[in-house]
Amino acid sequence: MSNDKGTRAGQPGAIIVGASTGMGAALARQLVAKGYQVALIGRQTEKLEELANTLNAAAAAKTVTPVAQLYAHDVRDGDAVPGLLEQIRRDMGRNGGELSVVVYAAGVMPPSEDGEWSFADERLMIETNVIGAMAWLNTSAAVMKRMGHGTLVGISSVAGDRGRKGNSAYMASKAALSTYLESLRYRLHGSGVRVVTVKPGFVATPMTAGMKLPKPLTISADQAAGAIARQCQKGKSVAYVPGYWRLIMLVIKSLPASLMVRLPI
Amino acid sequence: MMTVTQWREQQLTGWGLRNVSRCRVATPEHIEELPDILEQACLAGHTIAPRGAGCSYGDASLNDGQIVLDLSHLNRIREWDPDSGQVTVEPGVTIDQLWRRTIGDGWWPFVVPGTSAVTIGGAASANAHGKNNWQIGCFGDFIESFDLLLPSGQTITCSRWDESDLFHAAIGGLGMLGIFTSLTLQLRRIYSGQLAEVQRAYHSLDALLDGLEEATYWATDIVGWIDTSASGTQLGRGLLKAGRDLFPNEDPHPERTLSVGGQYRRSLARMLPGGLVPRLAKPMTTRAGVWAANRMQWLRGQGRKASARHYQTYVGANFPLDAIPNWRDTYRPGGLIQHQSMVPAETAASAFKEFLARSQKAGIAPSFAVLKKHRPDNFLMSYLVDGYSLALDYPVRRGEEQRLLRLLHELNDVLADHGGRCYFVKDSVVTAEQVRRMYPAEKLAQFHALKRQYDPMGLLSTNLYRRALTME
Repeated sequence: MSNDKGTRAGQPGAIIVGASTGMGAALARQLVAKGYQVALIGRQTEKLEELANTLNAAAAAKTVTPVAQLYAHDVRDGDAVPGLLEQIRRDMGRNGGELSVVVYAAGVMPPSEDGEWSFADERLMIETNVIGAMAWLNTSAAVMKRMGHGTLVGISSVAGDRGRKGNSAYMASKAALSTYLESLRYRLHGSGVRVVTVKPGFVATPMTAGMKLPKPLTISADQAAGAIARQCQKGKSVAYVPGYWRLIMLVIKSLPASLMVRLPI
Repeated sequence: MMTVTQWREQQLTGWGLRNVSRCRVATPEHIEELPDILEQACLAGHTIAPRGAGCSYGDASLNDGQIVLDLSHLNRIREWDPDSGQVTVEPGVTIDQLWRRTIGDGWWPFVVPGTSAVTIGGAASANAHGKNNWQIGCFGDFIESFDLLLPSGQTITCSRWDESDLFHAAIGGLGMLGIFTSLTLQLRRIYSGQLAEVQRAYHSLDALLDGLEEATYWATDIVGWIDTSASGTQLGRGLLKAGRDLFPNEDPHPERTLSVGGQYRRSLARMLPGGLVPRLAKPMTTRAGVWAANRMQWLRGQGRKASARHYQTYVGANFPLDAIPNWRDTYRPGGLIQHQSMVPAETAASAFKEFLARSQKAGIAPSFAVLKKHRPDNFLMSYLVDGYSLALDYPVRRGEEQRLLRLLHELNDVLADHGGRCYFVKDSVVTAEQVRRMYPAEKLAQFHALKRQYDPMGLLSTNLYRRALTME
């Protein structure tokens, strides 16, 4: 970048909520590679710091301003979101950029030995996967509506498409998130704000580390981030990642309940 | 050697067409003629008013019975460096000429006013501002240096480092300290010939001001249009337009938009014969017409589609006044008076509400009202404050003129009470007494000290200067 006096080049900015690990971290790397500045949000500050340092060091040759900044935040603290959002927008503005993407990638799925989850576990899933998402998406939607522009991305899951045996609260939380995003999309239609629901299948992340995922159907977080970016670019509103999950879920959704009880899925 | 300069008797007007003045107009073709003209005017006992494109609304470039120095033919671009973005021009070069020359290289002036017809010399004398004033400053902030021909015939080069006092006084000095003969400007890099722009409706003045502040998070060019037909709780409601330059790589085909051709879209107003649109629009300057036009604009701005971001050319976004050729003819024969007031942030809302309410009460609603955000600067005669400005266009209708002038006089009192300032090159009515209440006494004293130092004979003068800036 030149240092001409007349140059005031800016970059678009993205907020990634839940950027410490997994798909959030992979998306942060993707977006920076595409010329975004990113605000990394999460609880695990050491991991965020490591990611921010790596991203900034790689970009240092090209820009003077940092491309990644971290903000420590627990998504269960929804009341802090408006203030934090203001701060991030100011910080991005100082670098000549503006907020244009918000990705909600925070999500939890506590492990279970015996196929049972405590109420505390279930509450944690709803608070993190749903309430936290609402705090960020609701506030961001209002801001973006006023800007007449922006993209909201919610990382939901194929798990929300149908209730199955297994982690009921997780599936319910993802169903809630998918429905919330769908409604938001209709509400914001025509305002210039895009809402993208991402429904990944099996992805190898710290969240799924303890699970036995079928190898052929499992992709890495980086592969998932790549697919998400591609689908967003194509203009998809609901992005199954990878795309074949659309077909799989179509089949699963059409199975009768009498069969669902018997199937091991 | 002395040549006999020709000046011809001519009737001139301000941009608002209301201020009419018979002047002796000299139109030099070369900078070298200027010292002669100054000398002859001095010998003949005349004063001289410098004039660029005549785009000041009132009487800033008029000089009753005396000489007006029309600098518009001194319009050569002397040097353009597409690497650094610095350009050196004669004072009569217009903003229009400038951007046409530089846009292909990816440069645009940092600050442009609402019309591209203004000259660089005029914009410097007025220290003009644009919609990005709140963020990057005024026209003078991007002048690197200039040559100033003093009434003595001597030319001085001024910059922030050399002759700094004169530099900061001549910019915004209304041409009263000398005549710009050459100016060097810094332009800004742009990565597309289009801006990202958004429009939103706000149902009260307070909401509009909040929206404006909110837009500062991302936008650089921000301007509010106010519906002057609204009153009561909706007083001051309006539409906010906010935009910013595109980021590098945001425009997939910058070469298409970074060209003179890429800046113009076909518009119906441009295809019709020149005088037709103003004639057809004439009823819009009547009292009912003003009401209807404002109401219509407001309703049009309600559409949801209008509030989604869209792309607009630099010319379309920056020069709304150029969109309809000869639009000011709509206001003939009476013309229009613009009243732009700059008010500190704390008192702006109450001042603006009072302006609008008083105008409505007097039965003279402005035909057009525009809100902007500003920031102060380091120039001696700075009219810019840390706050907002409201520009009100008043049509001068038959039989209403005296009432209008009384109203505007009142508004200037209100403005002074709110700690605000008038903007000289838009003004037609402010009195010297009111100016002394608006501008800091020590700044006025410094300005007059410089005037005495560089123009002891008072060779440079205008109707505006005599009306608003004379000392007791």
